[in-house]
Amino acid sequence: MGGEAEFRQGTLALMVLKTLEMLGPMHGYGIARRIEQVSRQRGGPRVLLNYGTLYPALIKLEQEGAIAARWGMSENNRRAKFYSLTAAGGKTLARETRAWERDADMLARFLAAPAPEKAE
Amino acid sequence: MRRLRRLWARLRGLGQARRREREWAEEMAAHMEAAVADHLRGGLSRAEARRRALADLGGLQQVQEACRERWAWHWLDARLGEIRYTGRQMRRHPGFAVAVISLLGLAIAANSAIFGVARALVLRPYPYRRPNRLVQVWDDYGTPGNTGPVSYPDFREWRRWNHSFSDISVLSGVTFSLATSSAPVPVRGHLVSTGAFRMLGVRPLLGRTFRAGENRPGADAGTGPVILSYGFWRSQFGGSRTVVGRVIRLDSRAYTVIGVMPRGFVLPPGAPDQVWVTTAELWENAGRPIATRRGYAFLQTVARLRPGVTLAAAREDMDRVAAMMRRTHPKGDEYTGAMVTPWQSFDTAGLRPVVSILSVLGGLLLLAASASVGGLWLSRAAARRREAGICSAIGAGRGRLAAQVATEALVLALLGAGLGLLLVAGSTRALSAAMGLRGFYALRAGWQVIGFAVGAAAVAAVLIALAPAIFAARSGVLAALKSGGAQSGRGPAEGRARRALVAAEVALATVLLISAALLARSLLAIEHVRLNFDPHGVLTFALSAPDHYPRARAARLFESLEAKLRHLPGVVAVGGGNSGPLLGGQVRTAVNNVNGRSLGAREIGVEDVVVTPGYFRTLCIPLLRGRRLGYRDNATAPLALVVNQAAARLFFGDRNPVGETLDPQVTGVTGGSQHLWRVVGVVANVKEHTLTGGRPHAILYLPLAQAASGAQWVFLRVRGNPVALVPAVRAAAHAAVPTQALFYLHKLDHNYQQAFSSQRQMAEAALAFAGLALLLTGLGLYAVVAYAVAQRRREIGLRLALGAQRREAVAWVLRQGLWPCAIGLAGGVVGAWFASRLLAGQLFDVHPGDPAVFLAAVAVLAAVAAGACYLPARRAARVDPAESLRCE
Repeated sequence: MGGEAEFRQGTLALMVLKTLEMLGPMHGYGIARRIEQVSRQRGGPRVLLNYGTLYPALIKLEQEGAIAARWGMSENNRRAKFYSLTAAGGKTLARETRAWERDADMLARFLAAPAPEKAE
Repeated sequence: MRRLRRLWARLRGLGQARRREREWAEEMAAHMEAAVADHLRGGLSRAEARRRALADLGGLQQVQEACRERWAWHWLDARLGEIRYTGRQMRRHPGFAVAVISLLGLAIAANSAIFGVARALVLRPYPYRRPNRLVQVWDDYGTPGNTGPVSYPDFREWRRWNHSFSDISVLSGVTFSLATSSAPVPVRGHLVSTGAFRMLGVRPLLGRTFRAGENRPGADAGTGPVILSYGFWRSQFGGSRTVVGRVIRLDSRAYTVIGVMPRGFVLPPGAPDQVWVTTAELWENAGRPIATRRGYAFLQTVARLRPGVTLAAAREDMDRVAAMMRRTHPKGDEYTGAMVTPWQSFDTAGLRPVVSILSVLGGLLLLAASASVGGLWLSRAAARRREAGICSAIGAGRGRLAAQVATEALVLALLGAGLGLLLVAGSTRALSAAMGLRGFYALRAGWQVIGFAVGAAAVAAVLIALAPAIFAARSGVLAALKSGGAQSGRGPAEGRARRALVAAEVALATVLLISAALLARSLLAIEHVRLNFDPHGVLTFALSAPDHYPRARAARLFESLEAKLRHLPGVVAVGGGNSGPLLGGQVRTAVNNVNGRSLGAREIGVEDVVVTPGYFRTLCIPLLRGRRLGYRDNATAPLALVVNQAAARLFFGDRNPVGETLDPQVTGVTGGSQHLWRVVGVVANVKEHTLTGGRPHAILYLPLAQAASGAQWVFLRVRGNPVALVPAVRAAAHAAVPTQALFYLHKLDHNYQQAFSSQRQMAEAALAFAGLALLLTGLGLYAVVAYAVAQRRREIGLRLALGAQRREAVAWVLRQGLWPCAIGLAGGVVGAWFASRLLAGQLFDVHPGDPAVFLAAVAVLAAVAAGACYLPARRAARVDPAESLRCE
């Protein structure tokens, strides 16, 4: 159970970092929408069971220094908190992406491996 | 690394809970707005869009909880925020803060000081091994509390025949003059049995303690062993480690120093003792054969119960021993046996009720202070309701408001405790001196006292926060917002809470005031006790004749010294005695021939005082019959004595005792084996030992010229300031006996004051508490009524405008304040009735239900209450109706 939660949390953090890298500073709702849209486009499952789960993840990333927050104006002219990727966050993203690709690659090869021949 | 960064981020964020919560709320608002806008574009109605947006978010409450978990230390954070907020509040209302903190500080200081005294006197165990197994054994004279010291022969029999004690030691005060190159130095000490130090389980710092057999007279080739206290070693021998083995001269006898006790060692506790010697002392006293006669009962004892022996079993055992001894040596009717008492609890028995009464009164004061502060605060809390409503609107839950209240109470109480501790720390030394506590009993502001003060602060905080917190949690905060604040304070729950607090304050103040008044009346009664002597304007000191003086020479020494002192300027009369009223200690002798009739083997124990002719006049002891002793009662004249009324009754009943004879055992008297002393006069019963308790003791007064006394108290009745005479007195004594030091040079008045100092201190403390409680009550009541008037100003104005009489407005205000007062007074009187039962044991000559005291206290409280209500009522009467009409 714990492992699964950890895994999903790491996934969500990676998605947030990737989003900020690609699209620049965004507010919470924007990030949530983007993650939701991308995962749905590809026909995948719902990543965010609800948008609210994003905010604790944002706090954690901010505390780790991977993202920074600044108050700015939203598209409908409201004060909103904008998150952006920090240099440290960029490094984290690169490292985590590599690790993720390696793990995924390894797991894919492992799962695709044919059954060994039985010894007579 | 990442963990460290998060830790740092959290630390940095500490104390910013409020800001974070605000920003979080704003972020959520932005989120909701954007989401709603999206849904609206999707064609949903506004209501539906909002519902969907909330559902997508998964519930605001849940998100908030999850975020707070991430912030972590949220709890601590929230408290820090509250503390900062409290600080701002206090800066905004410095008068209120100062008043509250000083009230609490005084109450906590009073309680901590009482705890310090209780700890020093009652709670702190004696500094010996297993002190609760140490007991004292006394001669018992039948009536409860009427125990006395034992003679050395009886002590030896106790030691020989008992089955209950692993060891038993005598403990008897002695004084010496230490011979130095200049003037002799007065030295105080105790003589103890050789096993005493081992029995107590204490070790010396240097050298050794006594060995068995070292108390044999003449042992060690004429130099007896002596053990020094740490302080005496430092002051007289500069802390030299080579002191062990050195020979010192005490009272012209040589002693070998065998050991030095460690710092802080006391025996007995509370005595500023300097040396300890063995019972060999008893054999060397040339004046009287005090080691061999059962009549000389003057020794205290300490014993250790054998393992497994209970106090009750030891008492039974000693009853057996005493019965056996009574058969071999009959003692007189009043003597009934031996009494065993636990050492420490018996020593402090007289102080226990004083300490517990003061603790209870102090506790009541703390309750009153807390109630008062709680009430003041409730009034202010009501004024802050609008603010509370706003807090609530931006998301602060009711729990948060209650938490804010609790934190504020705790901060105030802790600041109060800090102030209280400063007061206690600053006054410990002075208090210790004022109460005459020293040695083991000296007051110390240790960590226990600090802990107690913090505990008291916690209790106060809970009491303070109770009413406001209940009120904050109960009252609808939104209602406060709606009402706009101006009309607030009308909540029935809040009004009731405030009135209940006022009633409680009045009740507590009543209990305190009545208790204090009872104690004060008792003190007055004690001050008016008929002493039958006058302790004021008398200077006194003790002096011993050198040991080698024969008794006649000792008597001549004291008489010639008195003659010299009589000629000092300002001296009205001079007299001396080997004991004196309220000086502590007594000398006992025995009689077994009354008016020529022998009592057979029976002996009747009485006190005897060996006096010079000036004794009675100097102390102003009234003569009832016959004559006083005079210079004609000299060594060659027929033996003469004076009895007090109690002795006259004991030996002669209702007969006139003048001319009758008695045979007190007094050594050194020349003549036949049977010495019959003729009674020449009767004097009044002097308050010899206590002011308040007990039957008067039978006392025989013998002339110094005919009896023997190697040590005397000299009394000088002085016109003007006795202290001015001190140098002249010292010089005269030094000229008369250069080798002997003066002891206890002081005003006799001091002993008189000491005799009821615990009652006085108790009464003074109680009065101070009552005064503080009255002040608290007045303030609390004033605040509550003034607040009620301020709240209803508009209403009062309207009513006046509509034709109501000003008188009615005043009556309404008075009703507001006086009703809870009346209820509190009634409750307080009932409480005081119970409290007075508890006080009864400490009251002297005052009935615990004394109606005058109760009525006076009620009148004082009613006056204070009326005063506190009158001022706001007058303001109510001055309300201008026109102003109210304009407002509406």
